[in-house]
Amino acid sequence: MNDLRELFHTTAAEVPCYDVGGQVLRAARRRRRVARVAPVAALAGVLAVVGVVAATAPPGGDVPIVAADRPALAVSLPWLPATVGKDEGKATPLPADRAVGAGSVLYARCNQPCAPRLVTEDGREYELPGPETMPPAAPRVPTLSPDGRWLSYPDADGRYVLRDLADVRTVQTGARRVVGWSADSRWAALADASNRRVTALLSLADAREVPVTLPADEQRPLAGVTRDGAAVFGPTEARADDDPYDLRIIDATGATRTARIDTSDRLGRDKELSGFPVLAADETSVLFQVMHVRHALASPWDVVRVGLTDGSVRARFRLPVPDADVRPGRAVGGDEWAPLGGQSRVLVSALAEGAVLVHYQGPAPHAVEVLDLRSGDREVITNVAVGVVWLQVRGQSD
Amino acid sequence: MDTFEGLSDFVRSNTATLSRLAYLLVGNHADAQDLVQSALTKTAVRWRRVSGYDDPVAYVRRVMVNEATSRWRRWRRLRIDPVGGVPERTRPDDAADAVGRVVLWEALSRLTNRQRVLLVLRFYEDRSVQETAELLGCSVGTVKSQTHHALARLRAVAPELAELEVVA
Repeated sequence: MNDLRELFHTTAAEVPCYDVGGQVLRAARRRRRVARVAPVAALAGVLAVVGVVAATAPPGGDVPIVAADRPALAVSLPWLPATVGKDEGKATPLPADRAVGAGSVLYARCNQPCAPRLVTEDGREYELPGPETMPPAAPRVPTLSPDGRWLSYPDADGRYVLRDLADVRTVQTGARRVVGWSADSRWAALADASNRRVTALLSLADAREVPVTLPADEQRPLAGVTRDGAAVFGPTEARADDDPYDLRIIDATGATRTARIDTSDRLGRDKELSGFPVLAADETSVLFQVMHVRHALASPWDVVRVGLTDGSVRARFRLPVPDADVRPGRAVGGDEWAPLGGQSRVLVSALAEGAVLVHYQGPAPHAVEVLDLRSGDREVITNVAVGVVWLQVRGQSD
Repeated sequence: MDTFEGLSDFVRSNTATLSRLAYLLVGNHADAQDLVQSALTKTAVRWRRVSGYDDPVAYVRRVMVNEATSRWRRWRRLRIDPVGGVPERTRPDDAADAVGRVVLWEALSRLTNRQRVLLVLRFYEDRSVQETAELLGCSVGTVKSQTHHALARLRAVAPELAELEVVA
């Protein structure tokens, strides 16, 4: 029974043939075109960099490192509770006929199947409805807008709903779910629930949709949405290890521009940026996490702030060294990359007050911290009770 | 001559085999599809040279193995699903064998990337110790010891596998 060969061959026989031929040819042709113009571009780039460095670089060209180890006294997130997940009793179902007020955090105590809970600013908890059956590949992650007013979640039929928590209004988004918000909660980014591909921005004031079109063969995670309706995407997931980071920015008119970031020689040995940047609330910079590598495994470490217009590294916020054992694991509900042991901090959103980090101990969230991006000060805002397996704060994208 | 001449046929005739290998290497369909696409794209970029090799598929396999052992580079933000769902992989539900396979599959997901790749090469592709060492860029002794450690870890993370049988 427990024969590895039998397992491998039985499993392999069930694997479908992935239809990637079209994408492969398109990507190869595009790379070839890039390669042809690369020498000219490289020369222009070198000349530009020489000019910029000569004009602006500090002596030594080092990235300013800010030790994020002092308490962030200047930052306040009063809407976050001191503790999440203490109440193990049954919660009231989210009422459809009355307002409940702004939400602050979503969490779940249980492994699947179970419904997540919404905690509102007044400390009340509500259980979200959950679908009984869903397509296997569809993630079912509810999200809260940065101001806590809007909640995106799947209803009992698995169709996505955008609920105004300050009212009883709802916007049906069907098979699309919200994967990101603008800092002022004016825009929500809608993505196909099955593949996380952003297709439109939704204006929450008037339910107007603005289509967003990435090239068909580009898979990029959403970094954020600006107040004027531009979508900022992280580097393509097909990026080679030694390629620079190209961010794609698509504005409300559909115009596209690229911001190039290359910090590979500034991060130190065995370090690189994660592929999932977060747009800062000031909209002039993006935040990355440095991946700390040990024994061919990586865990998220420092937060790096990079200028969106020139790609320059503005600061590196030094966090405690992680010792998480991050590997592909079976997180709650699906095969994903997950820390299985040790501790680490994961950058989850960037609000006007600062960057929000979730401190994990093993696979479970342990605390919510805020990082003041002006001073580098860091503070634990919320402790997470033992037994909570999933947590999502306001403004956190999927 | 078209730079990509013959590439479409190559992709069409080998994608199924490569898909199976990719899934075993990474354990889920999303990453497996990414792995196949990435490896074939790298092959396509060098197609003029690779097409002249005796066995171009071996080149793709090597790229896949290299990528699978360094998958931390494609680290993703933790995403978890609080409201349940259907397991991604089809699981027969009527036999003890099926239960055993599920336990073993779960245990495989707890191995390091390198340990998992090593087991797939040794026990799915039936590579010799020597071939596996060449593919992974390590010594024969390392392959032997890592195989031992990987199997021990399987048994450790899943006590049900104490009787794990591997016919080397």
